[in-house]
Amino acid sequence: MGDAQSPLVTIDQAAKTFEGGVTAFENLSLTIDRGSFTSILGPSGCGKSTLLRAIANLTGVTSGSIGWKLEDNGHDSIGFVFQEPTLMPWATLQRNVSLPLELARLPAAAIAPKRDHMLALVDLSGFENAYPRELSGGMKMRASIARALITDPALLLLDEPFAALDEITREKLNDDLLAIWQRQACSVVFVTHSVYESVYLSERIIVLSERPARIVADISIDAPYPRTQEFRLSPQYADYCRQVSQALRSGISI
Amino acid sequence: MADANQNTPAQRAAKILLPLALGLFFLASWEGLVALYDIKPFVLPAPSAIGAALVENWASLMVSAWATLRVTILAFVLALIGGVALAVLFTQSRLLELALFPYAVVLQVTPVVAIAPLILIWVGFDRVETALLILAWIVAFFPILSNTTLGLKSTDPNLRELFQLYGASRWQVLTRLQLPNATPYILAGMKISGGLALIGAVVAEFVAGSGAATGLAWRIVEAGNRLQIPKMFAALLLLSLLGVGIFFLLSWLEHLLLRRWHESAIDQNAR
Ligand SMILES: Nc1ncnc2c1ncn2[C@@H]1O[C@H](COP(=O)(O)OP(=O)(O)OP(=O)(O)O)[C@@H](O)[C@H]1O
Ligand SMILES: [Mg+2]
Repeated sequence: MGDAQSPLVTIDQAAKTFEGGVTAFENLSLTIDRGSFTSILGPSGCGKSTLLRAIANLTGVTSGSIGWKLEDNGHDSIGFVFQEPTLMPWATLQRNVSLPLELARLPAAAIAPKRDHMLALVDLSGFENAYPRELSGGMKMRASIARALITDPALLLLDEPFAALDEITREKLNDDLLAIWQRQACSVVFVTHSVYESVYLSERIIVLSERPARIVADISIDAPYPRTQEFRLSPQYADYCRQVSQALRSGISI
Repeated sequence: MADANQNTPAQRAAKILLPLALGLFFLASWEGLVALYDIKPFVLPAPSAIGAALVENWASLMVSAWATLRVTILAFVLALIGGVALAVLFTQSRLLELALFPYAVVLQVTPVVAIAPLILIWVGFDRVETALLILAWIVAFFPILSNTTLGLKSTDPNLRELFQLYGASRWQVLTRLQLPNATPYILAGMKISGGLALIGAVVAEFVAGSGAATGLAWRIVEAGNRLQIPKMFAALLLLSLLGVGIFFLLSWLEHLLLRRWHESAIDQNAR
């Protein structure tokens, strides 16, 4: 997807060391193109979440830089989906989804149509006035995605969003995510530790080593979208999975 | 807990009728024993004598109850405002918290009976009600402060990052994240404080004494001095009714505000 190789985020020789002396990643260079779907795969605790938070500027880097190439109108924004749905339990679903726009002080009349559109997009129409505790895990995750998308972000960052869900729900949400990505034309960076999920979803997979994280492989998945169950059953898919698995194992020293 | 239909009409009736029946049985036994053993009213008055004293002194007791209630409510409201405001200041400025929190603790751990005479002298015996108010406030203030501080601080770190991501102002973080998150904590603090405000008002009245105070506590002292024990019981009864009333009112408020979203207040039959 995306117009040929226009970079959105440029990570240059970035390193992050915490105060306690733990180095999450070092010497990391990576360019994320506008409109691309990139997965970041790595062993647990290698620094994936930290990298994602650094891209969103929620935490700084100790050396190197993370640069944004902003659009002329300056309207690039980020959507962030956490591992947990991270909804406000005291607010209804619609208030949760419209939070980013409310924080930007948009008038209610401008928020309502966008919010309703988002809720329809993630298949949650009819639950506007439900509270988070009245929803299932998958519904909460979809609400979280709707909230991340409501600002029409140039970049959508997802941190293992489906890790806590069952296989069926997960596959359904994977398809939903791909459909949304194609419709919204945003860039996606998707952190996961599932090889299968990353191959099914991505145009490109960045495999990280264990901590401190380095890039051990940068694999392009050349399969057309929309991807379906057929792709999952194809030999091509199995090949990619094997390749990614091997890369992942090569980054672990056991 | 395990019983899903806890609220069938029969069970709801039982919830009211059972304690009521027990209470009636208790009162009847009390009445009977007092009559049987011919216990003097200044040792233990029969419930009927207490009822009679209540009716007889109704007007003056009501005036006293209102005096105590007024101090309690005012102290409680001021404690609520002061406690929440100070907690908000604490979360906005670490410096202020470091400087002031020890004094809040000192205020809390010093027994109110011990400071009461001092406050009375400072405020002056001609303005006893102000002194009572200050004393009740001191007692009621701390639970609100500490609970609110805890609630404001214990927000989900991911939600905080989300607010940061969307460039929320301090004010937005406070009103849309910290205060809603603190609501259950504040309400729990209010339930403790409501009872404490009444206790504070009563204790302060006892200490103030000397006819200057006009509340229920003073009625109890006065009736005791004159050996009007039934009247003493009547005042005591009104005092506990006030306490129970405050508690139920605050529980009801808590239920109203939290029932849709907070685990502590979700309707049992909606589970
Ligand atoms: N705020 C922090 N202070 C100090 N160390 C931290 C902090 N946050 C993370 N770390 C450390 O950085 C390392 C990477 O953490 P991170 O959460 O980025 O891993 P991850 O790849 O997302 O792991 P997982 O797959 O389990 O979510 C861990 O060793 C962790 O202990
Ligand atoms: Mg993580």
